[in-house]
Amino acid sequence: MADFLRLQINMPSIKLQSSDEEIFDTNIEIAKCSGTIRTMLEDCGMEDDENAIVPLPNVNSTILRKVLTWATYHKDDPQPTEDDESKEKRTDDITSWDADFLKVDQGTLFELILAANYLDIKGLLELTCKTVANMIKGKTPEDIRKTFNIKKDFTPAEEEQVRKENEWCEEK
Amino acid sequence: MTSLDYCPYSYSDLPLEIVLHIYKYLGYSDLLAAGTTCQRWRSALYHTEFIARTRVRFSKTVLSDQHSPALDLMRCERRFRHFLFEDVTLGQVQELMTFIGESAHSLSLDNVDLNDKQFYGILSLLPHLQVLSVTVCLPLFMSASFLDSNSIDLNEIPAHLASIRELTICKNQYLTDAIVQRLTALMPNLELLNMSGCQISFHNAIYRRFYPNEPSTPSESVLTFKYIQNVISQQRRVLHTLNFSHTLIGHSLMALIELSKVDEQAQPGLQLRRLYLAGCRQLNTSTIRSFLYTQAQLRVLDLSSTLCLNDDCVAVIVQANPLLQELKINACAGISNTGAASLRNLSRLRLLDISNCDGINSNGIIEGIASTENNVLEELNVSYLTICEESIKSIARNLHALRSLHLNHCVNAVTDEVMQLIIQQLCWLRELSLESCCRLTDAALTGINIAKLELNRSSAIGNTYPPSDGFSGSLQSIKISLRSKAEEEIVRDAKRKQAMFAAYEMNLINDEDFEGHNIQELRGLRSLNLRGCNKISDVSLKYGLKHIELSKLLLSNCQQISLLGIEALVNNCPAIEVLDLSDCYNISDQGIKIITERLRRLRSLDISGCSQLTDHTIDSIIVNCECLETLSIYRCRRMYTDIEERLADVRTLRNLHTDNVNIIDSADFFCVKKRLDC
Repeated sequence: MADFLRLQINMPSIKLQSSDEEIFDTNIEIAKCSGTIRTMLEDCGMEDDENAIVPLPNVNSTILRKVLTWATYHKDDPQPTEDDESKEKRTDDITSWDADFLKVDQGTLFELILAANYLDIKGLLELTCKTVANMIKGKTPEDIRKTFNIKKDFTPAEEEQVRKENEWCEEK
Repeated sequence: MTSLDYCPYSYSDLPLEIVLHIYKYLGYSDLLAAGTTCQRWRSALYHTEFIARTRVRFSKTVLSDQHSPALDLMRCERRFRHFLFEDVTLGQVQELMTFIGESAHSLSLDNVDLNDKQFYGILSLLPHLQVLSVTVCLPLFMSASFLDSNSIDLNEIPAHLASIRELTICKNQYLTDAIVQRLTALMPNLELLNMSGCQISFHNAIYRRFYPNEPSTPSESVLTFKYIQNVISQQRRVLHTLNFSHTLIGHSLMALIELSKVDEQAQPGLQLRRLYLAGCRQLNTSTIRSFLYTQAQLRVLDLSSTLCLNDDCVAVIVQANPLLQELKINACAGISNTGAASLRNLSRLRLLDISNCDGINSNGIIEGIASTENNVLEELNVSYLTICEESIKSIARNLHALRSLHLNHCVNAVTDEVMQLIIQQLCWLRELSLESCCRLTDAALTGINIAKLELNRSSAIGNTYPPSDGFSGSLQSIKISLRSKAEEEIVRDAKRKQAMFAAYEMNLINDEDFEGHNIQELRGLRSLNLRGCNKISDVSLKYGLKHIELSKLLLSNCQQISLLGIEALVNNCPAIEVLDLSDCYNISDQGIKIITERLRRLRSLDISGCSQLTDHTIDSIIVNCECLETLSIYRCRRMYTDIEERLADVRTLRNLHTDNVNIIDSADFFCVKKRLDC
């Protein structure tokens, strides 16, 4: 907490406005973990303007608060490198802080994914997608639909075709 | 308002790019399941590298333009790239081949009955083909006129065959020089030639017998290495993979040394990246050594079961082939610890198989591959070696990157303590084989403290069930005195099991009983082989195996496993596709019922020798299994009625193994026939 305060005092801050028009006074370095905000600041030269307000019409206050909590905790994370991209994808490396952070209902998780995508926060997008992947593993299609509120929109003929295709397909 | 009252979101609305991002973290069978939920998630499946990873396999069926499954495939919007037809009967397939020709990069024909005209017809419809494999297609090459200019107008041979890069023609006994010549002449850019298991004549005497006045036209009656050598010579600049496994190749390998040299026009010679010579028992030490010296680019080398390999050869390999990434030298008894120790110098080695090398023992491992920290080696097989605990401990401590570890039949080395260290250290393991490591107990996999449990149990049970009258007690003591040592062992085991079980049933196992590491820590485990580990009981299944990605589990001969363990298993490991429960004779019909109900991805089930199983098991399989392909029911003597005929209702079943050998074929035939009629 002390660390968080010190940053609040010493570092320049900017104002983020959520879709429901709540203003978040945010440390600029933390806000910049979002690629979208970073580009906006750079393009519009807002960086020096203390009173500038960055509107984020796609993110509501509940979600923005969560996102900023995550970003604050992860502010010192190293940027993902090219090397990480090619590395084997594993989903069992979620830290306990992140796991606790994502103990939310499916609706919130859904909105966090969209927010992470819109704000272009790689780490959060990766974390949320991994969490969804973990919830898919081992489940039957019917269970997956239930978990993620997905409606089966296949016609009976399409469903039969899908079933047949799955029968022939195997990993090379 | 909770999310249950009102659902404004549906994950099927996620943008495609996000669905693709999620898919990156899923294994193949999870991808198939996710892609079966809705249209958008389905279409996402075909944007990923999924298509590249997928092979369409038709097995034991009739392929014909007028019938399923060919008809179904042609209704498919997707364009697949890889195809395998095995044991299929081909009818009229022109439309099918035209359809797959739009996208087919690779085609494998395995045991398919077709003639040269059909073969030629198929090839001419596949313009993008790069990889062609023809395995055990005997009738195809029986005709001497295969691709002969007299039977086929060679001018019509499509130019696109020149784009074929990989040609596999293994286990075809009627190949001749003429056929190989005609086939490879159409494919001048071959990078891979696989002729494993072909009947090639290597002896010069045979060559002279069929080519009395060389040079001459290729022989129609014999397949000689001397002629194949010409083919290799013509293609030596592109060719980088050769497979002559299970042939009689020996001294003839020397002939390839000439080809590997830079020629007069300063063109580079044959420089192989991959060489497979498994089971080539005619090879001798000096030939192998001389050849390997000329092949500095080798990445993959398979010399399994070649009798000649010794420490000198290994020294040459280490010195001359420093780029090696995969080395298989299993069952090479001539290699001793000296050779094994030198393997540590192959710094790029990703895969090593030294199983069955009788000359290697603990020192070879400790001073060799496991002597220093290694973050490159991912797959290691040391099965059947006579090694001690310490050697496996050094493997666990130093080889951090291991994805796959095979310790089959390392009976003395694999103890509970060693297994605990493996779990602690090798967190990346995907595949673990512990077949016949019969010292392992539940403590190895769960970290449970059995001794403590037994102690608790005796006090707890002592209160609950007072000992019976003195007479039976004294009778028991007389019995014990008559027991042999082996019997005592059995009794001790049974007692331990009883203690575990009583504790288990009475919920006496608490968190504090687990003091060590649990196999759950190997969270990415996909394949686990515990065949013959007969001390493993329901306790391991209940408290150990909780792996949502486990797809293959082999528990053959784990006789203590019963319904309790199976109930836990189907809850904890829902993704199992291959399950071996053979000779687990405590398995009941009820066990099979819940297996077939809950393991929705089950493709292969072995319940041979489970003597309690009756016709109810067959009923459960028929009612519940939606994708079962292989079923083994040897020695299930309580199943009586028309098993084969009834199992024909399992639409996906392709392989049925029963004691009645004669009926298997007819059952397969019956399946195929029945499917076609409807």
